[in-house]
Amino acid sequence: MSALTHATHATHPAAGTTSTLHFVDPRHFKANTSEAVGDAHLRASFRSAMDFLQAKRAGHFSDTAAFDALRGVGEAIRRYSLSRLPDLLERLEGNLIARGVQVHWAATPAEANAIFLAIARAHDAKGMIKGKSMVSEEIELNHRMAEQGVDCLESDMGEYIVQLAGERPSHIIMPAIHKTKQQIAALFAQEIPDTPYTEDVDALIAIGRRVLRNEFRDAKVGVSGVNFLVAETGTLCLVENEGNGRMCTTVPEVHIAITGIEKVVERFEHVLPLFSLLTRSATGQAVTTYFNAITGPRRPGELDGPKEVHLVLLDNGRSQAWRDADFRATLQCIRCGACMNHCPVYARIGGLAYGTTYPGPIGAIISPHLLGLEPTQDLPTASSLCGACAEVCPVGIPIPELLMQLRRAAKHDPEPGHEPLGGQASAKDWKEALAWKAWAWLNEHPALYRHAVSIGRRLRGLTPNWQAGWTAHRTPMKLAAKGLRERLAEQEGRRPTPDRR
Amino acid sequence: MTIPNTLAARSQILGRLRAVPTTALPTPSLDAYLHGPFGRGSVGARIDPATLVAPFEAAARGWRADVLHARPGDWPQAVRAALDARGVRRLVLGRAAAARPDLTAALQGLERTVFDQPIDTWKGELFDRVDAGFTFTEAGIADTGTLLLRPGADEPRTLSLVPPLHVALLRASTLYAGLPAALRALAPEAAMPTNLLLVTGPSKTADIQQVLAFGAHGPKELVIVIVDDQAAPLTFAAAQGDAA
Repeated sequence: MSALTHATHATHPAAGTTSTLHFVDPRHFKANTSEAVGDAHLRASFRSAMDFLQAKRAGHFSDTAAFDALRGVGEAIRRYSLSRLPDLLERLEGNLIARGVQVHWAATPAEANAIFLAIARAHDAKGMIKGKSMVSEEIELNHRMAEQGVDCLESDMGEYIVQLAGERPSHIIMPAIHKTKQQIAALFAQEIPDTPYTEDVDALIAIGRRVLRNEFRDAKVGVSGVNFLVAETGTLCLVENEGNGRMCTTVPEVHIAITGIEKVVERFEHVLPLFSLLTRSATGQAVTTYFNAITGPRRPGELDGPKEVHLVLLDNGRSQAWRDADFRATLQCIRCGACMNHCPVYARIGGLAYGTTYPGPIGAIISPHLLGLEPTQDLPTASSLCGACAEVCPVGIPIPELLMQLRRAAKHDPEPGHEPLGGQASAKDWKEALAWKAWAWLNEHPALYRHAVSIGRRLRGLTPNWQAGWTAHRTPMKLAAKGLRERLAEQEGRRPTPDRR
Repeated sequence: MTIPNTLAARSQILGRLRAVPTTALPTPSLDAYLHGPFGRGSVGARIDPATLVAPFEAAARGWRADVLHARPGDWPQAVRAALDARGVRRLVLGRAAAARPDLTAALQGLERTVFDQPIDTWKGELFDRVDAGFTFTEAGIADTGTLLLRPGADEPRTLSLVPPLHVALLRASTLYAGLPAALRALAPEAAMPTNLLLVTGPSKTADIQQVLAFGAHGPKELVIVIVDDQAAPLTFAAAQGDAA
């Protein structure tokens, strides 16, 4: 992307510290948006990528009844699992410990990073090799470890490209979706020693393979995310195409997995319909190359696999969403990215403009819980409420309704029966509230309303181009020369009907 | 440096969850999934595996796996032919495969390494010197062309991951229509292995401009040798992952 110039270091409210975040701040969302919509190159990249992903998904779900039936099962499993979340987490922990996995809990990103650092230090590891993990992006693992002298290397091809370019992922499934092969060719030629410039995609992938293979072989610590946790068996399930997830979780002596507390399901059989939904919704594949279910470290007599497995369970605001009967649905998400692939806003501005780890519709409803509503208050407004996201969501999250609730929560105190969210009512503005009050009052007084409108029409030439907060990101409001009622009457060749009040 | 004690975070998180009164929902029914197109063969009588060979082959080829056919008496020669066709010189085998005289006889002349030492002692060789890995499989899934592997002491996990070519032997009698059909029949959750693996085609990525490229980090090629063992079931006594 042409460079979102508003990258800043922000305070992380959930961490309770003043640690700096290296991602683009969601406070600059509106400015980023203006910049992104003006970038023809970016617009073209995202348009073609979204069309491609939409068509691939549609090919699998052309039978809408079959999709609805499968979605019903997926939604029921996610809702059931969340309804038993604390029990399932404890059962998961018990079964993991019984199989030799070390379980760590982290309320905040800072706590999670401290755990990673301590494990790396305990093994005297100078670096870690990483499989794809959005939760590790959420805690800014790479930056935090680098500050402490531990180098994290991304091994998913898309993540590797993005890391090499010093950027962030712009999509949760296809991190380098915003980059062209020409840009990647130039990046590889410049950053990787002895690499000629080539735009051949097979050759570029072969270069990445060659570099990363040595790293898999030599790394002491491998890091991964988790797609599903199975409480009953203490199993971590990973879904991927490249094999880097298998490498990171099999070859190094130590494997550290990190995931959000919401990813747990009760039984192994509950994973199967979710896996069916995930791959078809995400990339339009009936199945991925690898589905890798890991239950514990290397057992006696086994000849490979890590000798130590750690699982970091991260809260970071998820418990806030869970505690609210409505917002809990946010946590049903299985991170397929279908909502962003079908979002008219995401398709036009791309993933980086959001300034959050999770962009698009799911990002707009999860980020306020992770970061608080104060910095994220604009994200839920970035929707036409067209409903495409909810239509394709494989686990039935009512995204438009949650966007509306978050808009209300940003402007108003909580309604009865709801706890305040972090940053509740932080977008409240007394001038705006007063303006709406006056508007409501005027509308309740038809004679005054007509009078005011008629004066306004006569003065419309004097309408100022600066209208307080409104014009910061919008064109000025100007009264129409004629009202709707007059124009309709003119069309029908009659006099305007008077107000009936 | 010791690893931080996270019990305080644990009680904080679980405390926040437990503080809200919640009613657990009833256990969800999977019927709509199992009876639907994505759960084919998981309910009722088992679909005859003989009818699944052709659909399996078509699906596997769709993911760019190569599929060869053999009989119970000549599969070692089929494996050898697949290796020769790709110019393989150094092959790595699990202990289960190495224990079969018919296979070792067919592999005469190739440089063979038996994976019988911990990976830590020969990682460099495995990564840099081996051309191909051979494994058995526990089952096949016809609708998606998927192999189910249960790696273990006799067939380590990296056999099917690190070498650029993976040759897998699949018995036709172990074919199931869909994933839930296979997993309901095999019920691995009763005693979860360290690693349970589904493999569909060679490693791939579409991370550069959505262009599909094979051989990302895992095997660049996957060859599946299907043994027609319907008439005379073939068993691999030494294979830990043997479902028979």
